[in-house]
Amino acid sequence: MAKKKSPILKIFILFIIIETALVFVSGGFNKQLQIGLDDGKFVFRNIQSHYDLQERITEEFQIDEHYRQTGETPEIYGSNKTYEFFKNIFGKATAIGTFQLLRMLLIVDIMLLFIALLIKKRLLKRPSQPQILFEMIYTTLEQFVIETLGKERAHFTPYIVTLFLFIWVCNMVGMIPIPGFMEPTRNLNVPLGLGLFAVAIVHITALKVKGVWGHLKNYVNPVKNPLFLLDIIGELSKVVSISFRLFGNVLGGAIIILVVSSLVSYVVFPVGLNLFFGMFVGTIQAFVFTMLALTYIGVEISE
Amino acid sequence: MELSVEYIRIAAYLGAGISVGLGAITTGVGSGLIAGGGSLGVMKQPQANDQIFRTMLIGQAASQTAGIFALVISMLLIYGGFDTPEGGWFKAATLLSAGIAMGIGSLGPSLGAGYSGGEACKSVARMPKHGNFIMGNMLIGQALAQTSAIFALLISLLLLYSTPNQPVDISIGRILIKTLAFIGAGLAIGFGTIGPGAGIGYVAGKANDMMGRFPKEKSRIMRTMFLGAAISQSTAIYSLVIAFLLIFAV
Repeated sequence: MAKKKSPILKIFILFIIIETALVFVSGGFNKQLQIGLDDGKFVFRNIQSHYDLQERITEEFQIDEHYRQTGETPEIYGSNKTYEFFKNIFGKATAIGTFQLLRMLLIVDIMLLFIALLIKKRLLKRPSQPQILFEMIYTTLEQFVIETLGKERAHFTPYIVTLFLFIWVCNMVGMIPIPGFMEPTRNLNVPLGLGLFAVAIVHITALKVKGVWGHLKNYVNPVKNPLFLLDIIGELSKVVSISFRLFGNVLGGAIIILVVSSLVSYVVFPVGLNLFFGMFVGTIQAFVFTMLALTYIGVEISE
Repeated sequence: MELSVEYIRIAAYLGAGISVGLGAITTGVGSGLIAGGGSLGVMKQPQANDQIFRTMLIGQAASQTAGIFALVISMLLIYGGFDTPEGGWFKAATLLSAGIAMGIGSLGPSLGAGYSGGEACKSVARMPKHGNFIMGNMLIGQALAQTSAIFALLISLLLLYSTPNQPVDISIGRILIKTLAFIGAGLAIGFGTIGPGAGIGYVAGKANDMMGRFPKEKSRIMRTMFLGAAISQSTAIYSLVIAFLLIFAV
């Protein structure tokens, strides 16, 4: 009797197959490019004879600094005219970085929309495998919401599920082996925006539930709480902690993959690192962010 | 007073070594604590083997956050390209201080996250039916414990990226004050996070333990944990404020 494969093993095998298949598929596009494992992904690009790791890190993580030093934009972003065009739009702030971030966010949004439409089109009573996955995500998070906020506030579930799916896909998208693909969460602006949004929702909900004075008296009542200014700083530190956690983990994974793959000269080893930092840590951090956003609401509205 | 590039490079490498060396200590201890809790749990409740194993792996991955931060800072220090001659004494001090801040700053949080995860593994063994919620609580507790490590990361990144180069005409006394203030900022946030990190880890660990004993009181336990953690956090916030003042106001 054949033993049933565990789902984790299935995902692992699927991951290896997809990652390998993409190498051969994308190889057909441009014969000039050589095969290589670049920052942990199979990537086809002109591999220079000597990669200076420092230069490589600047190119990967500080594109605009790279442009300022060398004066050349990476091939994937077109000529310098593209840079000048975006510089005119965004001012003298980071232009290629902004362009890259916006492109990746758009890709993530389209992916989410596509998945949602695809699954909605084929909703079955006997669910297919992808439907099971997304139903599982939804019901698990719904359970957490009901457990934390009570049944009467189950309407927070769509927000929580959206937050989770968005961050999850953001953390996953960097594994796709196309040059210039990066996790949008690696840019500090995305986690910071999500964190500000989450804390704003916490306070709006608290104002709605407890009333204006009922909520504000925790912060501006010097008699009850002489250190009230520190409470306000603590409130700001919520934003910092929730966003820098995600940012630091994703950036850390990216840097480790880049450095290790250049140390071992682009052998297959980084695929395993991608599995750990991309899938495992990415999923955990998406879940942690979601749970923290949920628990902040739950603690703030409870008496 | 000029400083040649070699000395800035020395400071960067020293900072990188301090950062990842100290950061690895309690990250390892914490992972070990979680594995210990997992082994104990498997012996108590062999049927729940898979669930305990899963909790253990996820807890270990989440508890290494502070270690990963330390690694990031040391990689940035080695390869970040900060060793420009314009930096002067200021740059050398900030590079060393960034390493100190992240290295010492990850000591407490990793230990706390490890303790929390270990208790959660035992707790899952006691009450496998509520394993999902215990795991969720474990992740939240670890995240709370690591908040202070994130403050240390913030200060390190600020020291690396938003401190000025040394001006050309500046007196020796001013240089001394500024460099020592930078190093003081790193020490402040570094030592200031040890206590809160470990303390919140203890809070979270006890909350996980109780969640396995009284699963019906989930929301009350979680609320108490949150409030306790927020108050333990306040000393880390004092350190953060002082570090900010030392970097920007001195």
